[in-house]
Amino acid sequence: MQVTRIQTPLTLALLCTFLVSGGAEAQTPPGTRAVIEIGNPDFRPYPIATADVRDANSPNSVPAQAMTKAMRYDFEISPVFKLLDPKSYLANQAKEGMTAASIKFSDWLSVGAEGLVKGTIEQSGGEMKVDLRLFDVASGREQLKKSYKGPATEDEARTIGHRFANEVVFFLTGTKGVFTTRVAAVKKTKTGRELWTISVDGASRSQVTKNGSINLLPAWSRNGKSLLFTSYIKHNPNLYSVPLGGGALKLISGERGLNTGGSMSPDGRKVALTLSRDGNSEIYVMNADGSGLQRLTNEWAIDSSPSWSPDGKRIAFVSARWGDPHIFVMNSDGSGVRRITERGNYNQTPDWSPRGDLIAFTARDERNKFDIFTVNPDTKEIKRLTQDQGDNEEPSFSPDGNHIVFTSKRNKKSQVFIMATDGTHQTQLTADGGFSTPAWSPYLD
Amino acid sequence: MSPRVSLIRPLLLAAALLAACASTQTADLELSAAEKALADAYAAKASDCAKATYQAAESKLREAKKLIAEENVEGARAAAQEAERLAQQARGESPPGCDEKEEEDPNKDASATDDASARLGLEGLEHTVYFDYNQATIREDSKGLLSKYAKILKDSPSIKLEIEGHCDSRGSTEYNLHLGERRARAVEKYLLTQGVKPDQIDIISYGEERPVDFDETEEAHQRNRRAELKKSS
Amino acid sequence: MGIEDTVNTSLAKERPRKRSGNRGFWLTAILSLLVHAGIGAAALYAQPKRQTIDLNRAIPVQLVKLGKKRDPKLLPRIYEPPPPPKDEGVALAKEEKSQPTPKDERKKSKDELSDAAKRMLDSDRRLDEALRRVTPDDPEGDPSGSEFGTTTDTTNAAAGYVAEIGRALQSNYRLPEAIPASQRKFLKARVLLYIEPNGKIREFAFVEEHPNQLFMSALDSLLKTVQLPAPPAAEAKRFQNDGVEVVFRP
Repeated sequence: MQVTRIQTPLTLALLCTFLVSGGAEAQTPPGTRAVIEIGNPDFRPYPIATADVRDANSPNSVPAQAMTKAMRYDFEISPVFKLLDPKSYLANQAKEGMTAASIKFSDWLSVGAEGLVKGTIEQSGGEMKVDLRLFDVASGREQLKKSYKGPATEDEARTIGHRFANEVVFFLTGTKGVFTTRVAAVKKTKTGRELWTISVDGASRSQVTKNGSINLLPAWSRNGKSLLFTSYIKHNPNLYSVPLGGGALKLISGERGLNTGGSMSPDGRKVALTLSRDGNSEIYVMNADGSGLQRLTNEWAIDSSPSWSPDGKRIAFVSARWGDPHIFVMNSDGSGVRRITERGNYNQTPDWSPRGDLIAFTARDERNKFDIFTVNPDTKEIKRLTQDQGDNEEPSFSPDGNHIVFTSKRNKKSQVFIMATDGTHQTQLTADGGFSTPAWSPYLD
Repeated sequence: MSPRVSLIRPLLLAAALLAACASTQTADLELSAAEKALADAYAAKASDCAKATYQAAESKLREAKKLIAEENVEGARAAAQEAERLAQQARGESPPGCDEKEEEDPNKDASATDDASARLGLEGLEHTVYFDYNQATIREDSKGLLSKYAKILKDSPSIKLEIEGHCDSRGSTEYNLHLGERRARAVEKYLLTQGVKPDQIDIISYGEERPVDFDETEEAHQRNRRAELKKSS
Repeated sequence: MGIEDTVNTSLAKERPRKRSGNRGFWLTAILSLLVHAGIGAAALYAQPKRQTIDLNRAIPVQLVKLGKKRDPKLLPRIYEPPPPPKDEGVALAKEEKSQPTPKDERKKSKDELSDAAKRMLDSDRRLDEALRRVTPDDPEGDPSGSEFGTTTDTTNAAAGYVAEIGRALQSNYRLPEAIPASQRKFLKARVLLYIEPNGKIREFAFVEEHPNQLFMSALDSLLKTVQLPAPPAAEAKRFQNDGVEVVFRP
């Protein structure tokens, strides 16, 4: 990178030894022009403008507003984009059409947009037809066009907005957007704890359990159709699975003592969990139907909270075997145990990124504050994502690995927040409080 | 606080010390035998009924430990054996029911042997013991109470207890479930070492899900780090 | 005679690890200084004998950024915390309005205090602020300094100018985050810049393009907007006619 070559004769040479942080390099063969190398680009979010979606019948109908809001929210929370402030838009949106030819791109260029999203709705008989497009502002070309149909409701409009935002992300980055995924979380009730799922924009929620007991630690099945969780419904804290479309609970593990932290392997065939049936908290693996139980750890201290690596070959977990709880990694057969966190003294709740390169966890720092960190399981490098904003706990990665959901007590009550994996774009999803152990779903469509 | 409670503390502390150096000394056998004899004597109310002998046994045991600290293994052995002998003697001097006339402490009802009065005893007892942060070890100030429970359970084998482990709100849900269970299990183990039968005790952990104090203050956290002993039907 | 500075290359490889500001950082800093001194010495030695050293010429030297060492057993801290979250997410239920925030309470109670008490509180606050300013949270040093320390060799006017172009382009070399991670390491483009005597880019021409449009349009807008200084008069013709070649790479 920082190679400096000195060519002779020096009177002709262009000597360059600057070591600016990016690192540029210059070399000049004798008598020719200088060559400068510029590397280490500073990756910046893609500036995108999102025009108001227009409803042919009434320009700012409820579905049109919901759709605009949904897409703007998605670009706002995404670290890949910088949503340009709609108040700054210069274009005459009422006049401008949907085709590249009818758009005055210079108006969008001058507000700094590189991408432009536009959309129209046509309602008839309670149904709507939606046309959404992405333009490249610099070249004035249409890049993406999608049509949708559905009932002309606010909910449907929001969903369509999120689906198109997913398409935009996929078009630009090659990775599917996560805006139609959901977060499962536990919410306190008067009598116990119930499971809910919440959309990524916080706008829609649905209650999963209503049994009045204590229901804890939801984890998604790999197909996104059911949740694994621990419930006291039969007094002993057993592991159950509940279908999200409604249906009966299925007992997965009913060993005496705790049956917690159920976590499905990436191929969906196995479940890792923590049991205390042998008199101590240890990690076990079994088949997804509960058969073939196999013990992985054997320590006097607590071992808990297993989380699979995306290739299914390793499992991250918490162990207090060296005194304080720390994040450890082992092979999925229990061999090769390795401590990963060498800083801090109270590290818990590992969640392995779907990209494989990071494990997010909760740690208590020297000021006794809980915050979210990531650690690279190979280099053990630790990065801090939250700080100075109350206690922040229980991280869980989005299926693209770009976001993390967590709970924060920064506004007293424990709320669900999401953020980008670098700690930016922190956004609150709930306002009523009492939430814990959020878990981000896999892709649901 | 009853005199018994204050007496048993140094003993149990001593037991803990003993365990700590068990691997380095050879007077272990003698010491643990003396320890056990003393505990038996205590259980037989020798500390009240045969006070002088009991206290002599105690002081011999202390001497034994002191000698160990001074690395005088031979002396420690002899002292421990003497402590054991005295403890057995004290126990012999304490026939069942020897302390029945003492009525001023309502907790003493627990000494009655029939289930009805045992129940009364349980209900009269404090049912919570507390723990230190991130710890699941029985604190010295809990041992007196747990010994009373042990006595009642031994006297009334039909009584069953469920021990609930709880944590404060700090730390993760799952880790706290397991920490809570360790607390419940620590209480269970303590009762079992006092001679309670395993089938009389069940444990369950609620982690941080059932706090008694919803504040986030240090005091509230302490009140929530607990095990509750509940009579199960 | 060609000198390839391999020491510097190995330093570059170690850089990422050194960012944590540990002992190795100092090693790097010291080695870096030594190497630069060596290069400078080599350059001076190789100059034609008749050239004299102008003692009045300023040699710009940037400060080395200093930082207090943090106990490596402690968890890291963020020195520039991310901005606080936006208040409004989509469709957030409204918070109960009746709850006074703690800040309001403090203000109210302060209004009821006597003047003397207010003065005391104010001086407390000032002390707090003063203390906060010197809390060891922030690394110390020159904020404009390079993390590694730099010197700029200006023994040759053209070399200095090329370095300036390099700096100007480097500090504006921003690419969209939307470029997928899988493609980032293959990005490469070469472009010729022809620079007018006033520093304006008269013309640029890509001699090697990359198929990624996000990358190419980012370079396009960079070269259209970047401000370059004027070249040294003696060299102006060269930069206008021969131009310089810039290689953009990951």
